[in-house]
Amino acid sequence: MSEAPEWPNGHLDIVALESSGWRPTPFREFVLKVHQRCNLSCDYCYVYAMGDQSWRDRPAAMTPEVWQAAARRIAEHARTHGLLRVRVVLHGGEPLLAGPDRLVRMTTDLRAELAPECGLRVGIQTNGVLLDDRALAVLHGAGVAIGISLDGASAHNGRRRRADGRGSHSAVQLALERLTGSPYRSAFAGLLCVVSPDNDPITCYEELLRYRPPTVDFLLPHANWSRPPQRAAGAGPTPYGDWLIAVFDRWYDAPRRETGIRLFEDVINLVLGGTGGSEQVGLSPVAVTVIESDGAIEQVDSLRSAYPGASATGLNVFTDPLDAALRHPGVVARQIGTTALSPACRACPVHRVCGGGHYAHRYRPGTGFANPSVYCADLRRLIEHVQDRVCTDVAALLAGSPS
Amino acid sequence: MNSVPDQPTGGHDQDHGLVDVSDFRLLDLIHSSDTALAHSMRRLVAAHVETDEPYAGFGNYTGDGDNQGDIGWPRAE
Repeated sequence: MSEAPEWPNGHLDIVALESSGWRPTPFREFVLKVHQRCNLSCDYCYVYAMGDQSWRDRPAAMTPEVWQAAARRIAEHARTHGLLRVRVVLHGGEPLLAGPDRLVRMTTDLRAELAPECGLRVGIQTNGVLLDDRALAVLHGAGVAIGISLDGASAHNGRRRRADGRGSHSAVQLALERLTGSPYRSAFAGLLCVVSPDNDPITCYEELLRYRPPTVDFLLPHANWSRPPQRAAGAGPTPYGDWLIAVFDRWYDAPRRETGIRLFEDVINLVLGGTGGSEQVGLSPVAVTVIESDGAIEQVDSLRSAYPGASATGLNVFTDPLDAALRHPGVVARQIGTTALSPACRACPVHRVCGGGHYAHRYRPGTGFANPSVYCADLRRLIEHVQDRVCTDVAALLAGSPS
Repeated sequence: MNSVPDQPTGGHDQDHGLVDVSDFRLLDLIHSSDTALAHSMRRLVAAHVETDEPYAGFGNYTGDGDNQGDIGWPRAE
């Protein structure tokens, strides 16, 4: 007797969903895996160090044939859905391994396919090691926004090492000094920092602030119920939530907003009654798809932290429109709001704020993604803290007196 | 109060929030402030008047706020 497939595969009745009025949300963000290799060997990386090794079987670099086919599919998708603007993220591996000139050719080809009816924003998420003056000049000239991954000061950045064990911090620091100076500052999109409870939260945050980033994104390290997050011996039940709360209070209590922190701003917005803008929290439909270096159309690649092949759809830009992915159970599951949550989540008072947490963090062998996040306790602690702070301050505002 | 409990609508529910975005007292208060809370409230108001359907973007990219709903609101200096 074969085992039942894991949720959502084989569990979602898409025809019934459509009959009830649900419609797919078109993709607005397209993550191009322009290079499959990386010049760092971070020990928490979901591409290389977790459940999936599919990068080994794909072309190292995306070829012109693939990115031009991807550009045509993105333009087709934008036309089909009347999209006025889309975003492309150049990603890897380490995308700068593809070379800045190749990245600009991609950008030029994308703009040519999409113009004039649809606006295009292009960003790159890089570890910064290869971001020298020439790369900066070329990317800046092409209007590419640049996000850098950095976990804090040198002492905080110990998990972001080269394959030979050498650290990467000094090279990234140099890149950030270039990027944040004239004339490139306008290309600086922000910093991405993976949370590590071993690091002091305030010194880590203040180290990131040194670069005056327009935004900082704090990410929980990818984990799930079969690979739970690291928790130091003697740590309390919510070390990640506690860490985030310390940073939240430092950020929230600043007399002037020093930077945007997407996770916190999303939680505040959700608490206030709005919607979230990232896949970390909230119930907004996820409108992101990934195109691999061989043209494969995939779900967000962080799902690979769950098990080999978890992000696959079986589709490819050479043979399939992006609309075909909108009917994949894994994509549908992330666009149906509370329907995709586990019964335990639906019964929780903060489920509309956390949205069940990051989808990849819900995985448990046997039941798939129909579970609370493995960070459930941490998220709830953070959200209830933010709720308390915001409720108090809004009440004080409305009463006309500062808190 | 949930307006669409467990409906497959994308999960948006404006009825659970703390703030009435048409409350002019609140708008006056946040207009002249540059705290994190004021910024978030301005974003909420801006998103309320936008017509774009909200959606969630890539959680691994520090993007430039395409879906942040903070366009055109005067900043406190």
